[in-house]
Amino acid sequence: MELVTKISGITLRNPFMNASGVLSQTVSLLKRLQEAEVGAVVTKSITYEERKGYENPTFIKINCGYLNAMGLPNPGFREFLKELSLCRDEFKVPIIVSIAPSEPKQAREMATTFKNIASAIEINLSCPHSEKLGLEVFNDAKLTESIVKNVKDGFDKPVFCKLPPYRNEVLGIIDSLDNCDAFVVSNTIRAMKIDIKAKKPVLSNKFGGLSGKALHPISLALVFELYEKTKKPIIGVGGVESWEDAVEFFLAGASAVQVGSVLEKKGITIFKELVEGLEKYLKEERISLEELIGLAHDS
Amino acid sequence: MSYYIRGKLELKSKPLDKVAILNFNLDEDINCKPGQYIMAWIPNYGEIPLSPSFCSDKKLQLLVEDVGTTSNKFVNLELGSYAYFRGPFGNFFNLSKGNKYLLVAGGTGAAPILMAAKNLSELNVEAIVIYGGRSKNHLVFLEEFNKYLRKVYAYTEDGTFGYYGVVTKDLQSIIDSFSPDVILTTGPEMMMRKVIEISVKNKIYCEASIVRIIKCASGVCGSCVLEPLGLLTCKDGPVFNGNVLINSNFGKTMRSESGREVEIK
Ligand SMILES: Cc1cc2nc3c(=O)[nH]c(=O)nc-3n(C[C@H](O)[C@H](O)[C@H](O)COP(=O)(O)OP(=O)(O)OC[C@H]3O[C@@H](n4cnc5c(N)ncnc54)[C@H](O)[C@@H]3O)c2cc1C
Ligand SMILES: Cc1cc2nc3c(=O)[nH]c(=O)nc-3n(C[C@H](O)[C@H](O)[C@H](O)COP(=O)(O)O)c2cc1C
Ligand code: FES
Repeated sequence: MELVTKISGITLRNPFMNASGVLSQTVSLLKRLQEAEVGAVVTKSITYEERKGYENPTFIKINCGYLNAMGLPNPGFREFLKELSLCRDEFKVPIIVSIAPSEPKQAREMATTFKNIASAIEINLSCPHSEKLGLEVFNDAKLTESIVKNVKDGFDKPVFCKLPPYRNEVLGIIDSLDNCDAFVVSNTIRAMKIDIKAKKPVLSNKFGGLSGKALHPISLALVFELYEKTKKPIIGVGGVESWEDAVEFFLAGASAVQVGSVLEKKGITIFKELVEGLEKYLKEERISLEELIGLAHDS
Repeated sequence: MSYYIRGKLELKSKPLDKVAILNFNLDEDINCKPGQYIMAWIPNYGEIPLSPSFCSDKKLQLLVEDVGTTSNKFVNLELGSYAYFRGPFGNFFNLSKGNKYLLVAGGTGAAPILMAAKNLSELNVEAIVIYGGRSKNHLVFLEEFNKYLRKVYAYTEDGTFGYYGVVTKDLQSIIDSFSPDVILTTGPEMMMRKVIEISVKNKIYCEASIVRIIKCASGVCGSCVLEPLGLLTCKDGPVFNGNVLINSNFGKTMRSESGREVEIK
């Protein structure tokens, strides 16, 4: 079955991508993803200045998924651009550059800089554990609107907004995000783990983001609801660990799916598994990917 | 159950100002194979990857060198204090790849090689070690190596013990006389690079346990990348085949905590 799909005019060889932040902070890793059959690569969220990230523990596996508070480590947008520019030609799949701006001017400068490299920009409005970035930006509706507008002004290709999994807040802001071309739903849920013998929170940042299994039904519900509220394409992300989990996202209305923490369990071969699983399912159900998208909705 | 396995510091020696051998009693078992690592946590300070020199039967031995915040806290941990561990993570040395093992250990990197030496002696596999350090008191596992192996070639850079010079000085002639099937190594990166080059030149199967910045320890975050192939030290490693390493940036560059490319000195 044909898996080629389109998001805001960008053609993908299949609807699967890595989620920002997993195996995506160097060109060597992005190339490894490309070889692993992703439809597009998404970079680590890049900030204006270099960030070391938080002290370990930064990532842990828990019963219902994973917690991370990496702290957005990245070499800063200039350094990252330099690395990516040198190897742009080696990428056959679209590169989606994720940026995590904290104010409009920097957002615009970063977006402009990646003009010749990125097929799309994904704005991280949802990282739940970094000061003045991600979710803290999102919680300021005016700032969010201005950042999205500035990115759009500085970049002539599609702009995606990556949203948090919090329904009321998302529905409250969605109409003011008219400048963006697609939604990525969702980032992690603010969460915590305490070690009962150490009697302390495990993550050095205390709070982190919950990803994996427990996030899947929550992101799924938000994708479903957004599909009815907006005409814009949606990229589903959260707890996809098998092709069946991905199919649920398509049925709910996602046009593409990103996967992250499952790499802990299945490694990079997960992408092949997703592609083959979806192909087989579409064939057995005698349906095209296009028809599948949003099929769970009445009418 | 607690998330981490708690360990109480029962025994400690400080062979050097900035180096400690720490023996913990664990609340539960962690079974580490030689080359594997654990994540060792002290709340409010941090968590670091360490390759134990011993780790089974609820006992854990670590050799820690003070190079920064968390390792400093470990080196200065007081008897009776607690630390917290999870693991094991990563792959391990292949101990069934031949009949004759040559081990090459440099300085404070010796811990996993000591565990390999012990296991090889239990398996009745013939093994010898070349063990080098700056000075005599840097050869902290000298006695243990002598216990498990029939031959220990010691090297010191200041000539205070054993042969005078670096650990790789007579590697070629030792290879010629011992004819090992396998070479295993840990130590400073430039030393390992040299060992690998000599092994590859002699067409001897070689494995090295390497160090990169470990964060997630799960093959997810990409911080520990070995380039240009994009291999993950935390999961595909920390033990890599010499043929992989020789064609990589090993000994040349690595990534800093932020992901910036930095040169290895
Ligand atoms: C698989 C593996 C096994 C190791 N086994 C041992 C061991 O048995 N004994 C031992 O003393 N050391 C070992 N190390 C190195 C040890 O993990 C680092 O020295 C330690 O993490 C430094 O942390 P810090 O907080 O003390 O230093 P920091 O103040 O954080 O930094 C000091 C320097 O240490 C290095 N470093 C920092 N964080 C890490 C990290 N997360 N991973 C690797 N290097 C880092 C960097 O080069 C940094 O410049 C091992 C490393 C790895 C990857
Ligand atoms: C280690 C790690 C790092 C992440 N880094 C980022 C990031 O830089 N930017 C971002 O938008 N999301 C980041 N995320 C969130 C993921 O992109 C994704 O939204 C989330 O993990 C849910 O998907 P999953 O359940 O498939 O992991 C990160 C997640 C993990 C586990
Ligand atoms: S430390 Fe995160 S991938 Fe290796």
